[in-house]
Amino acid sequence: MNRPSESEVPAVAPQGEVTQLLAAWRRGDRSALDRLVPQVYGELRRLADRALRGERAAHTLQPTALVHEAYLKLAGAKSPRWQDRLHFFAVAAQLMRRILVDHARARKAAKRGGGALLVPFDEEHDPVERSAIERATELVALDDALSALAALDPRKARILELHHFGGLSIAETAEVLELSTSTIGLEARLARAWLLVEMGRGVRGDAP
Amino acid sequence: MTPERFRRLEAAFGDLAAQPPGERAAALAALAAAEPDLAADLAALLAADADATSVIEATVAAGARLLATGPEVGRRVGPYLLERELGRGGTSTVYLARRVEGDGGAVALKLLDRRGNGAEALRRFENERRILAALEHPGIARLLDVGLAEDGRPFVVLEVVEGLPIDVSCEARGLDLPARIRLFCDVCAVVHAAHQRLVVHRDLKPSNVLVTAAGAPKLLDFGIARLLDEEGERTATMLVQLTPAYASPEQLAGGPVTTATDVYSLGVLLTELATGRRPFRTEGLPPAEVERIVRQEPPNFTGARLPPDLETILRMALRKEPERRYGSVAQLAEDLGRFLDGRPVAARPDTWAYRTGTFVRRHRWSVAAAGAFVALLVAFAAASAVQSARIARERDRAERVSSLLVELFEQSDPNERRGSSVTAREILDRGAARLASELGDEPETRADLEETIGRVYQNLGLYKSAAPLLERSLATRRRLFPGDHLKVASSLNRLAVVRALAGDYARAEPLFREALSMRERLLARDDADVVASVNNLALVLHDEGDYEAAETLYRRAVTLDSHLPLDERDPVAEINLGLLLVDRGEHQAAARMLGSAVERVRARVGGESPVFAEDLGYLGLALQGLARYREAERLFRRAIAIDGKVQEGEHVDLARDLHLLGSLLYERGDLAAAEPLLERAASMRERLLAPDHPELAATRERWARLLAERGAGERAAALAERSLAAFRGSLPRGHPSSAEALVTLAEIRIAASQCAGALPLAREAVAIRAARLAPADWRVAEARGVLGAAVVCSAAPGGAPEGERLRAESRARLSAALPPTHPALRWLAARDRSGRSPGASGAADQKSGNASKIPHSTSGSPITLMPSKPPFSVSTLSLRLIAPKAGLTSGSS
Repeated sequence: MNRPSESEVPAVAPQGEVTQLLAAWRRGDRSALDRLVPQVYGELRRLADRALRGERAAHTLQPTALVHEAYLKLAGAKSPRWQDRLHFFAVAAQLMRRILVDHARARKAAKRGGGALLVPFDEEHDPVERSAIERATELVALDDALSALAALDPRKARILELHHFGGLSIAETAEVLELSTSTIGLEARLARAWLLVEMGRGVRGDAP
Repeated sequence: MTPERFRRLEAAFGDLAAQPPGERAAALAALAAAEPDLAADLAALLAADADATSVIEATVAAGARLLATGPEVGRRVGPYLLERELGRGGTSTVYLARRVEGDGGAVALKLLDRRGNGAEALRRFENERRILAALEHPGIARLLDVGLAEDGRPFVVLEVVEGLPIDVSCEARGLDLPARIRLFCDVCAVVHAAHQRLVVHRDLKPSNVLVTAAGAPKLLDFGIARLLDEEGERTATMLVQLTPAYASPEQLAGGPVTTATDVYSLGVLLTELATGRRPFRTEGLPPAEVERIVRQEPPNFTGARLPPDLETILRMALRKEPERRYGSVAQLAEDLGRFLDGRPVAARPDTWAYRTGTFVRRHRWSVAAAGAFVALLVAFAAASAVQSARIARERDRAERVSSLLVELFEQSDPNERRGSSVTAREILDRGAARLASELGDEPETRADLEETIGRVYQNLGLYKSAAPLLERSLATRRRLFPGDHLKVASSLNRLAVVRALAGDYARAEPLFREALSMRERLLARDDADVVASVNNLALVLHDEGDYEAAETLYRRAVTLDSHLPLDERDPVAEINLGLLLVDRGEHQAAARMLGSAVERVRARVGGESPVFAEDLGYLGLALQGLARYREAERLFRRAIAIDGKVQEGEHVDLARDLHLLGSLLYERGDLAAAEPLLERAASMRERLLAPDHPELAATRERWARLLAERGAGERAAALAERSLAAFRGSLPRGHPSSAEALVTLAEIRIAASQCAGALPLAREAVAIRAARLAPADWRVAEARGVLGAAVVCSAAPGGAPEGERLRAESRARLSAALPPTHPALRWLAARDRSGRSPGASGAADQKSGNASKIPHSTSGSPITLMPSKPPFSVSTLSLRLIAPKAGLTSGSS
């Protein structure tokens, strides 16, 4: 996975630049993607950090909403091309997943505390934090299952990532992956059920 | 699961999912017969199918909400991912973090809550980082990185240290005090190394001093406080950022931070390690109050049971003024090393504990009369100085005068907040020295201040320091106000009081007389100041042993006092008259008079006042004379409770209370309980009073008697000799108190068979008591008995019928007048046993059958008990002398 490199202090690129990068990427310029990713990641992080600092209500914090917001910020409301927008979302979905899962993993690790260093308060005893840790645990399980799925069938994993983390519709996902919507629909259905079983949430028979 | 199997599963799922649910079961059952594993997986997938979409959507949404609902764990800061919160301070949070790229190693990242000012902050950070990077030391956690998070908040990255905060570590490892101090010295070595590289820590506290599993200290955050301290908002930042419980006074004041700041914080840390508590109780207090306590209050070690040298070391490290602490952390560690080795430490008790300026608001709650007095004086001094102020410089002086006054008096008059007398004394000494230089051109104001300082010295029992100031004040006023003047009278009275308290009655008496006649000419005859002067003249006569003249004057003062308005009346003359009755042995009348006066004192000054405690002691003394020991003891203990509470450490009042209780317990025969009390009273008085002060002599006399009674004859003799010499040096010839020491020393010498030395002492004692006391007073009989014993002791066996007669008469009188356990009778019994005197059951008595033929003892055998004189009159003297407030009044001047 592409990660932003170095510092997280990039100035926000002018909207035109993101648009150009998207166009270049669509034309097959891989380096455009390399330049695009840090910007998208940075914007998503900024939005997530704002959420962290309590600057928005928790209920508005849908990841898909964040991605849309990031897009508007980076590419502008008057989107140049519909395909470019989809490509942006494709990139953003991946990054959004990473952001959420990194956070959840860290939150889980925080629960463990311990080590020789002193943890100032015991999160286990805070009911709010305890339920947060349960949620974090589920998201990490989902991420693990998604990675396992990618090992078996990368395309299905990608479908779920785009749909659930990037906010793309099934039709849009089909467009990005250049597949038919019916294919996407069935594949997504199997992938979700498999994911649930893999996460231990499904009613499981014999372990594979 | 293999991809192949997954594809088979996918194909089967596609087939089954296309069928209506009712037909799936049959298809699954058929598949189960052929491929049971596949059928089981399929069944699970189909079962999950219905919920899958909603569960996944909910999980992702919940993961997103996590961002908004918790610590920043999971966030990225620069190239670091925050993994776990390690600690949270007032303005920052420390995380265990990991570098996202590179080695992915763990670091400790401290993220500030506050934003910096962008590029400028970053540049400054870089500078600091370079300085701190040079701080390579195994005991210091390395600074790895600094930067600004994308939201503008500064962060610093440190090496992760595996260890426990030093206080937790000491507890966990169960270290004893020496081991804790040794560990602390290791910390000092680290801090000192940093200081040599010109880096000050600024924020030393247990959570910044970790101890590794190997037991080595590792310091965090060296210089970080400065790094995070934005220029231009220094004070505000300091205040919010520092940990107030460990911050030094100069930090709280926004003053310059130096290596001495670390010395201070180390002092707090060591206090916590050694006692389990910090030297200032600031928990839960508002910041302003914390600041006040840290900047003004002395460290509080109550209940800590610190070794005295260690406490001295801590007090030196914790001094308010940086320049008066240890010069370096190394010096602190060296002194601790001396302490551990049992060698003398270099630290000295504080002599100038606080900057006077910080004292100003200190005991504002006190509304004692002295406080009002000071306030008036301040206002007066400022006003009179301003009147003459024609130019700005003189106005400055007026301000200087009033601030000097506030500094000097409000905090150090022991009647306002008693205790810390050493400290208060230093303040006064400095203030007194400054008066001459700063107010040389304001003689009237200076004289006022000199009198006031003299008064404070007097209340501290520092009569020798008070006298020269009061003499100067008097001389100045005589020059400024020739003839009769109230201020001159006030000076006369004050100086006389101090001289009387110092035992110099001869020079006090004429001053009292002059003050009285001046006030009688200037004031109404029943003015409170006149009454005070009458009382004081009576008291000096009383102390000089002229009981008759004293009584007449006391009664006049009591009568005049009864004419005063109720709120101006003061039972002091009655108290003193009661004491006179005690001295004359009229205990019944004394108890009646004192009992009623003490009640009025309580109503006047309250039941916790040192004045009340003092008068309780006097009442106890009368009760003791009536052998009502239990009641007397209760009163003495109450006095100790009061004086011990309001005074830290030593004070003449507390010494008096201890002397009283010790003397009572001795009289009752409880030598073991009495001795430590008398010993403490003696050592306190030694430190507080002149070497020949009568009060000190009185305590030594009691102690000597006790020592003799328990067999320590040589020490007893030495003490009694010193006591007698002091009485002779400080009291007029023939003073009754001298007789106490004379009797005691004579008895000790008789016991040691130093008969020639005993005889003149006994003669002098008889002469004094016969002249001063009523003929029936048992103390006269006691002295005669001792004289008889001395005569018998000096003569050949049977050769002193006169001595025997004296002894027999004395015995009869004492037995009738005193309880059988009284020391006078105890000593008599002991002398009987060793001296085989008449009435004793020894073989010599049986043989002689005649009292006049009893041989005196010439053996060197230890005689531990000797006849005694009563403790009353000495105790009374010491009480009255020690107690300026009830004993001598200075009026309202």
